[in-house]
Amino acid sequence: MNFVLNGQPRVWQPELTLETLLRQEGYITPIPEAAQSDGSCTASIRGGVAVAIGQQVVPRSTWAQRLVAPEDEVELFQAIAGG
Amino acid sequence: MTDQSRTTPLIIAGRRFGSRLFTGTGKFASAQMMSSAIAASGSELVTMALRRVQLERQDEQILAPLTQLGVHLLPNTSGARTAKEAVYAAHLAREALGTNWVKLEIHPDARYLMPDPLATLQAAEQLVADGFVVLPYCSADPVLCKHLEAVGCAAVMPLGAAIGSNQGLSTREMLKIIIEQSGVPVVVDAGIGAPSHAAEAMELGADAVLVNTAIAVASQPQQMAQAFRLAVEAGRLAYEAGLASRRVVAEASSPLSSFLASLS
Repeated sequence: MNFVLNGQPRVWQPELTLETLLRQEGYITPIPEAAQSDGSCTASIRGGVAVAIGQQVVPRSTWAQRLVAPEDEVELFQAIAGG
Repeated sequence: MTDQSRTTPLIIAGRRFGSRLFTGTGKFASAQMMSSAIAASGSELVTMALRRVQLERQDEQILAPLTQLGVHLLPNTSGARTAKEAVYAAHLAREALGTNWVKLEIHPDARYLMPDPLATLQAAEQLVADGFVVLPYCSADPVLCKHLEAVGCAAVMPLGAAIGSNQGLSTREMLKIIIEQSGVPVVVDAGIGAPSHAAEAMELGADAVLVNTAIAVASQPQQMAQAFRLAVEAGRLAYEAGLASRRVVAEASSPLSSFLASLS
């Protein structure tokens, strides 16, 4: 069985969490530091990565629990330079 | 950062900015060059984009240097062609960068990159409902800007000219109306190709300008960033000082004394 990561087929494994997958892929993404009271941040979060499964954004706080299912379409996004 | 004592601070959605120059992070030759230019600009709000990760490639990390600078991040939704895509991008950006601020931009056509007004308004309404601080990049249309304000946008960002075109304020007359009417800060975005353009926008009463290309592709980006910083400050100072009005005919600066008349 496979799942798909950014268009590439990957062999599915039982108990594979999103966090494990991201670590395997080299995207070390620590849990964000507490957001400021106005909901903003001062670029304090390293990584700048977001994940969606089936076009649903998966909150960072649930990556450790979220299991990747067979046939899942996992999409990984990253903050880059832009205007 | 900029000398905050000289001009009044700008407040957007409760956040105070000493600098009225916002900068983009695109098109710089290196992260180092970007970092030194942003530092020289005094900018406290910088834009970023979001992209689907290309697994085979390792992108240059620009988040770390931005963290060092201590600037606020404004992720954009560039690449979105519809309201639905923009809303999705905004939610991803919020997760990626931990900020609920978003520069909403939807441009379906790559040639002129003109923002889609209908999709932008629709997405803005949705994102405000989702708890975002929305700064929409939009046409310099006074009616549209009022609609964007009415649905809860924290500012409006009308274009001076097409993105990256360096043409200056081709929408000048419309910008004047927008500035006159707006109940939220007006940030002139796109088309600002020279410090004089930025100063002009500030003299008109714009609350801030957003500059990327003109700084990033300069031979000396750091020096150009400083030039923009000075221009934005000068323009704002002039606006606050109150510009003299234009006249068709001359008005003497020196007294036209009558002693010459005595010669005739």
